[in-house]
Amino acid sequence: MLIPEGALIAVTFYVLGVLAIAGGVGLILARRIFHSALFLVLTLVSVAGVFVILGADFLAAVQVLVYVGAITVLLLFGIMLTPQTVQLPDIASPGQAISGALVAAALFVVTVAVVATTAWPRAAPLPLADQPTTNTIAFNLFNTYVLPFEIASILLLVAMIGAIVIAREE
Amino acid sequence: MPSELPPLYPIGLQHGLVLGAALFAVGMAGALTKRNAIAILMAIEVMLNGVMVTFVTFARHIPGIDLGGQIFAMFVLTVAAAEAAVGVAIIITVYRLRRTISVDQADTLRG
Repeated sequence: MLIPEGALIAVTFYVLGVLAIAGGVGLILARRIFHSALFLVLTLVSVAGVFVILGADFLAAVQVLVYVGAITVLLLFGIMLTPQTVQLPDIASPGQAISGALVAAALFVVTVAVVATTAWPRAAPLPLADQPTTNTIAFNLFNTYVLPFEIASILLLVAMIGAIVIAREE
Repeated sequence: MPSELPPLYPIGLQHGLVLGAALFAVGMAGALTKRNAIAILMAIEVMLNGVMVTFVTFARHIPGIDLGGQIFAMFVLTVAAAEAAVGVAIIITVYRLRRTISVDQADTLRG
């Protein structure tokens, strides 16, 4: 018996989605900051898989390179350079933790309610192109979105200089 | 006229949006409850990932935008990288001055 392709894609989507959310929950519940970083990697890789399912192959590669490769290593450097002599309470006081979780849950409920009640256009998903999305992204990035692209490069320059200036020893 | 959430299969626009909202909410809960400044940065990265999932879902399911959603997700990623770099620099400076990165103890600006 042949399993339809859509069902396989749906199952993969749900597995990756549950893994991503589990990584986020593990990040909150982990006692040690290093374990939190590992759970963050689980979330980031799962989101990259979700990108592949949604037809964003280039973005999935960039996600693995930049997020898992660069940002996680940066955060690990931050952990390494700030050793804690006394063990921090990793979670806020119970009242603060409960109210924070409640606010986040309320936000989620409101967002899902909006998604459920909005009359979205009933379009079938666009057929995935045979060639990778790199071509289209590059063309649009340097035509329609060239101004945000330049601003982003200036932002990166400013952030780099700012990080050096802030973290430099006097 | 409110429409209901679609069935679980095949996955469509709403599934991706709900996943993005869930990631954003989990990251927000982390950012509000964690006390280690680096853990708060990590939770913010999870929130930004939820936003990126939403953008990419729209790029997949709303026709005629020509992958603008994916390009916006790339900009989110750029800003996330800049934010992480500056954030870690600030945390290291605070650690150098106060020997702690607990956000409860770095409260000089508190009113």
